[in-house]
Amino acid sequence: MAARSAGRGWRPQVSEAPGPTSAGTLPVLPTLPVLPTLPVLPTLPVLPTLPTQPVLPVLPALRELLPGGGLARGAVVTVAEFGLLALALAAGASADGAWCGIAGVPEAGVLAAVGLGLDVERTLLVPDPGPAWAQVAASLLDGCELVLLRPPARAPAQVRQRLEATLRRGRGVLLVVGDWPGAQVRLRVLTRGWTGLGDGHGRLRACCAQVMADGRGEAAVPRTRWLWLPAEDGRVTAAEPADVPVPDPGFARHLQVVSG
Amino acid sequence: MSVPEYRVMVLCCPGLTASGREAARLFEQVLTAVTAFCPRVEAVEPGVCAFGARGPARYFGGEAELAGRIIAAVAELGVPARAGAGVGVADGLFAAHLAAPASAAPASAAPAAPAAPAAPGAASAAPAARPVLVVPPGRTAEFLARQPVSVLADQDPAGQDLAGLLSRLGLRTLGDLAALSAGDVASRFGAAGETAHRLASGLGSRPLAVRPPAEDLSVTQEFDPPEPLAEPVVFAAKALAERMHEGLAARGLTCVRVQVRAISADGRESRRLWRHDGLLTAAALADRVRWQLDGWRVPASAAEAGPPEAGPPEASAAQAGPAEAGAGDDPDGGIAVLRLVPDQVVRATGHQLALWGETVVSDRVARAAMRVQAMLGHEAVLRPVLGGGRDVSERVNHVPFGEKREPRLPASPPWPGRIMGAAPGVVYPFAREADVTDEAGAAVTVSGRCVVSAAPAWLAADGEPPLRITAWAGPWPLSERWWDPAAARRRARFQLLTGDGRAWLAAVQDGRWLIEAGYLLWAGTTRRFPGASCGGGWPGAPGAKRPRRSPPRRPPRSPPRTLRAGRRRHRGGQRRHRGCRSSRGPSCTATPRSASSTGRPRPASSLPRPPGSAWRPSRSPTTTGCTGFRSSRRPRPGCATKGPACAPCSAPS
Repeated sequence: MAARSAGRGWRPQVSEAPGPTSAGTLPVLPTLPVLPTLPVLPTLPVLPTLPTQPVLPVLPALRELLPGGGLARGAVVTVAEFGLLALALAAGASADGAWCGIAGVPEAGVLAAVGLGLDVERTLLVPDPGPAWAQVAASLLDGCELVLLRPPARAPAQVRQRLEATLRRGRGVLLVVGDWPGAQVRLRVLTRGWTGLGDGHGRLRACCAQVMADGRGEAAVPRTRWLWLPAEDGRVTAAEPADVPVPDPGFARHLQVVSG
Repeated sequence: MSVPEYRVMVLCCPGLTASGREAARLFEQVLTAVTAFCPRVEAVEPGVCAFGARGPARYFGGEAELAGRIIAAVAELGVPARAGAGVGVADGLFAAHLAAPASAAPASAAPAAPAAPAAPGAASAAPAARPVLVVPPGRTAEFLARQPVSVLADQDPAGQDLAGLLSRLGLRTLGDLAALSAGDVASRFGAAGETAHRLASGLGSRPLAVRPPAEDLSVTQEFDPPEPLAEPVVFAAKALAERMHEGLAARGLTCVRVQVRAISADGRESRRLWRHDGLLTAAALADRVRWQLDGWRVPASAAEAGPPEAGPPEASAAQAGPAEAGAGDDPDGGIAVLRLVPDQVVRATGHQLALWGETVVSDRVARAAMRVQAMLGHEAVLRPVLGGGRDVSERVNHVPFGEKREPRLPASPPWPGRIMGAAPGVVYPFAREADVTDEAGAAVTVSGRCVVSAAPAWLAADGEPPLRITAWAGPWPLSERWWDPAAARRRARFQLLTGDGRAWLAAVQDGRWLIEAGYLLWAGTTRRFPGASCGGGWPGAPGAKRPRRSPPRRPPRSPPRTLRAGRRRHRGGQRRHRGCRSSRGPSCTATPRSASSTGRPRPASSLPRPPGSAWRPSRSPTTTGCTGFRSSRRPRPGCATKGPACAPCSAPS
């Protein structure tokens, strides 16, 4: 029994024995040609991915208002009052592929924003962030490139600093409706005039608005532009001051009561 | 030949034998209750379940005692009294089943009731209130011998014929049948007779086909001492999630949702369902646990509301409101138990994204959105969906993040009657009440014929000082869904431009002015939303702090339909115009259409003609019928959809 088991155990050694010996008989393989060292590739061109762009794009008509032609990443931009201007700023970024979060603005006119280019597929709404609004904004900034926020109350300095730190880390843009001390860019609508509406007739067609931007750093010099906000087709375009509508009482004069 | 018979207990709920969802749901609860006593239960038929009684009876101290406990447990479920449960215990399923209903309704089952004294010692040991019949071991044949042969009819269709035949042959009871020789019965009545003979002899009941108890796939981690910090709990959650995933994967299963339950040392509990779909990794699940714990720790005012139950099963993601624990403040003393329960376990079939047309929500965004959901609740993070409808607010539906994005109304029909032009940038979730007055200070009304009482001059939105109206247009009527009284509404819409440069979209409905939307707002307004919460914060808003998916924009209809439709009569003859009046305005006189369209005297300040081509009732089924006018057969001359004075409605002419 022991011998057999020993034999069994030994046999494989025999069968293996030719292995190393036959290796010597095999023709020696030519040494493999040493591959030339791979040429060191030049540094790959950095793909223009979104986070590397210094600014989030905006609608063409708004470019001249903003330093750098867009919303600088990591910056806080304020709009004095919620309206189409705030939506237009968000829509430009969204049309370019950015995710957009809207917090604290339950009355956001999504339909108007869609007309300006907002992509509803890439939009998150938090209508009522409640007392934890700063936390909500920070969470949204983790996922979205642009967050449109209307704080329900004036933000304490500590909260602002924490949010700004989150902002710089995430390379997003915080678009605040209302006041935000230390904002890089502040936008305001100075004047405006609607066209198309008469005394009992017509309809709202377009609005010519004067928008002023000021702020800190590059934006310290105030810039003022006239915009159609919105134009007749619902978009935002540049306007001439001459276009500013004056109240036209003669509109109704052309109409006469007719019978029939 | 005989299989050793074993004790079977049958629970019979006569009220639950009917088919129907309610009965099935109750019976499922009954089964669950019985499972607490004996894990392997067979549902014999609706309302009847059976299980082996030997083991549980020994544990609970006797068959009668066990039966009493089960009946008490079932009674606690709220099964209606008429459905009161009865229990029978005997050797074999057939006899036990016969015993159960006999005991369940002692009053109605008079013929069967004497079975107890007839089977000597067949002690109906329970008190009278407990309808329990226990046939002692070995005496089942005696019990059966007293039963009429008609009970065989319930066994199978063949048994029905057989029962009739046996009774016609003079074999009235099972005892008579059992007294015959098995061979004779088999040769006379065939296989059915042989089966019946065996049943009547108390033999050959089929064995129970019990269902195995549902496997518990949940995983639990206890912390002793309780863990006050979130991080160690999250760390443990990752290992727990891995264990849960392994358990599911070993069975080829996955879960649609997973319930995370955290119990604090003082006994409070946070439960929430998270969407899983087999896509979450252990780390992602640990993140959910972290967010849930974070949400538990946000201030009480932020974590208000939310029913503590886990939510309806058709909902998809985090259902339970935020942190369901008492006041919602910090879980005192730390987390004692963490439990992950897979919910809606399904077969794992993998997940395939569509090739095109599916916007992939990146992990980054999903994490951000779910994190906010963990803080504020499932319905706090919404994604807009564009749909159909005639109002600006109707055309945008809000769907909670993570749910299927479907508009309420399809966008494809043309929806005539929309306000044309640029959409307003400010759309109020709840229309604001307003007062619109004319120069004299009287409220501006719109009659049923869509005639404005006077030119609107002042607009006072609720809580704001009156604003001078510098330009206006309207009314553009809209009458929708007249065939559905609950959804029907009739309104006349206006665009107003006020002296401060703001433009408004307002509507008159039920005699009230409502501001639906605003166009670009004036920069210098001092409008402030009071209160810490900015949602629904304007004065007089319905005060809903939490966002709603479909805010009830329509105010309650206090006078049922004040701006009401007249009834259209014959198409050819002169029309009577009835019931058409505004609650404030003068009642509209019944005048034929021709009179109103010929520039007959109007209030001085209104235009000769309401510039709304949509006021002509459309023939389309979506807008017809409610105006009380006859459709004009040709388009009115001044009302083409061109020119500055035309109506911005796209009603077909």
